[in-house]
Amino acid sequence: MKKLFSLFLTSCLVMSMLSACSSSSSSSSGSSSTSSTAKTTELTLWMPPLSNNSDDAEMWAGILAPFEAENNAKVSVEIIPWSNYEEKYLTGITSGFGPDVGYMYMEMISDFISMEAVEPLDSYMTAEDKENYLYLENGFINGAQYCMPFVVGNAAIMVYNKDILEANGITGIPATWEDFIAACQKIKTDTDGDGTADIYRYIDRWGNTAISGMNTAFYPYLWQAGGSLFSEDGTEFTLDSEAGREAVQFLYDLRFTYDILPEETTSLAKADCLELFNSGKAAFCVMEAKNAASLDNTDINWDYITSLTKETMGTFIASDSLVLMSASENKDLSMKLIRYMTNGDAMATFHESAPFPPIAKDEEYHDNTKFETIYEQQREYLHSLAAVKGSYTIYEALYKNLQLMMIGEMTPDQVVSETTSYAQTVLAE
Amino acid sequence: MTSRPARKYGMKASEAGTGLLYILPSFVLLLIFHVIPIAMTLFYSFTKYNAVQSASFIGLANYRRLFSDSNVATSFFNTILYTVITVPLQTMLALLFAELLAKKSRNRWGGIVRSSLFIPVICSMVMVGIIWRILLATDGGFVNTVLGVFGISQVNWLGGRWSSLMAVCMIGVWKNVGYFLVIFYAGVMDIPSSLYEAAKVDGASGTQQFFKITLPMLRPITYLAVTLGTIWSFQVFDLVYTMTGGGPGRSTITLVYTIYTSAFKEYNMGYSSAVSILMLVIILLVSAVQKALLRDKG
Repeated sequence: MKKLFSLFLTSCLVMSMLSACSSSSSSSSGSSSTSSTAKTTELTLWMPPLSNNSDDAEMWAGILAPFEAENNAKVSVEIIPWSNYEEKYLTGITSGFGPDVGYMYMEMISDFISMEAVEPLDSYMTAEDKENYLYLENGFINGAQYCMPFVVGNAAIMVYNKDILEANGITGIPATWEDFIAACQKIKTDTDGDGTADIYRYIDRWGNTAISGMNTAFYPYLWQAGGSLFSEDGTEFTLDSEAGREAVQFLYDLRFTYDILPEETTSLAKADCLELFNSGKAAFCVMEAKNAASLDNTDINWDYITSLTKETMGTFIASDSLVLMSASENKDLSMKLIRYMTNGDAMATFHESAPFPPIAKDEEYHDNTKFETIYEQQREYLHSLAAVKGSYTIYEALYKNLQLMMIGEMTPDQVVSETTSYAQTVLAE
Repeated sequence: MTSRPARKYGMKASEAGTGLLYILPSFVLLLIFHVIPIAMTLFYSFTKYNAVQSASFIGLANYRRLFSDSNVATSFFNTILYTVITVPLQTMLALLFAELLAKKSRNRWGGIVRSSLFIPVICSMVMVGIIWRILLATDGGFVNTVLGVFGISQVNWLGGRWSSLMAVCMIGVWKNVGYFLVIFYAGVMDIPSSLYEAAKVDGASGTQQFFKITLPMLRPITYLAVTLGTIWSFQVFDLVYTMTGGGPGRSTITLVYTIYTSAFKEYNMGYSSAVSILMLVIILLVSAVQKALLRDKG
């Protein structure tokens, strides 16, 4: 009897395990469905955290309520943290639980296009769309309109502490690379005479764990020198040019020749740089406009320049987009959602919580007025990254090599030649 | 009338069937979560696969690339270095603490110390990495502030080639020593006190008792600690991911970090699988060597 009872319990345990492994029809029905009873179409939208108030879910619920009512739809918004962003999309798409509408940035989008995970929008675009949207060309990749630019802004600007400059007798704001070096060399780093530096001349995030560190630390200088990373058609890596070598050499000189970038720059992440500048310990820092805006809440007497000049001005601007996923079962309604999210009224509401410049003519400027001239009058100097297949791999190699240069383990020539050699291998695959 | 051999055979078959049923749940779990994934990984290591589109067979191309990839070589070197530093250190520290606590602090105070040393073990590795990144900040970090009190100039912990790797090693030791301390403590408590009494009568010093009695008696536990520690060291990822991102440069990239970036940043599951199989082979070899060297032959 005891044996029979044991056998029965064991069988129950095995059956319960096997039943848990099976998928129920209601939980694995794919990313969107139409419920027959309520005739409500369900869409899934994946967005990153963009709101300054950390209330993204509530913000989108409010913005999308009219869309849901008008289209008898239910939009499930999932906020995807930045830290595991790409893998969330990869695993979501692979498992069949991806979104109908997603949000992608330039470093990742080409790979998902090559996987045929993203649907071209050309057949949905109207003449009014092409007239209204300001940055459609940013989403034109590999001969098709693969995405709708949604956040185009948050320019990387060089902020400076006016009090530190004044205390060191620096009256003019540096405009060129040479002016910048001269100004930094005037700044006294050990103000209390104890032998350790308490003021940094210039800090940047060479210790960032993610490759986005280059958005402020490298790309602006490359574009200022007149250089680029990829050819127009994305088939060639173009760092190995006079401009590219000049930009890399400039950063090396800032670190080792002029001692303007401190040794600890390779341990500073974005948050560290912001904290150091916010506490008045740094004269110059390159940061995103969104972070610079928060300096008004500190005691720092600050201002900014859009960028330094070498051959030209140039700096980084984010260009992230909404995409229509190929696996969506309701592409027409999903495209309608994209159009709704990018219309002037919805964007105005979005920009109250997440200030960015307008992406279309039907919205007025709602971003910080301090940066309006950047987006209105200096647009030609604003660059985003090229969407190239395999670009993440190349950016990662470039970042690692530049970091090695910053700790003295690589020369500028080695950075350029080794990165170019590796990049060409990746692009050829 | 049933013959004795037939009845004996029937009983044995019945017992075997019952036994099989008892181990079936664990076996099914092992099959689903270990054996099948390893087999699938081996399969995908011979393919070009991005997890979205179908895999295409490419033979040994991933393995040929693996053996010429400087990133893999660097990550392998860093992983070996991490293992060589952390495993002996955490094993020795755990053993020393266990010996001290068992011999000198067999009271409430000893219990508090043991519990305190175990707290890092139960902390999330991600949180450990985030917190220690703040503590090790070059400017204003807690560690450098304490060093400054003793007149030591600030150290660029996470910004240097070797200091970053050493910092990751030390945090790894700090995180794991409590776990092995508990195991060693139980082992030390299990050693018959008569051995120590006899040794004392024979005039053996504390040090001699430790090396001649404690260490040999703890051999099986030492083997366990070293084996587990080695496997965990090879799997180090989340600490590196949160503290340094593999940097500066490639100073702290590890094998698992390379597996992760290949799979989820470069969308190259096939290559990532090949590196995973390499890591599996290495761990098996190292475990076999450790078993040969450390396992109690008695």
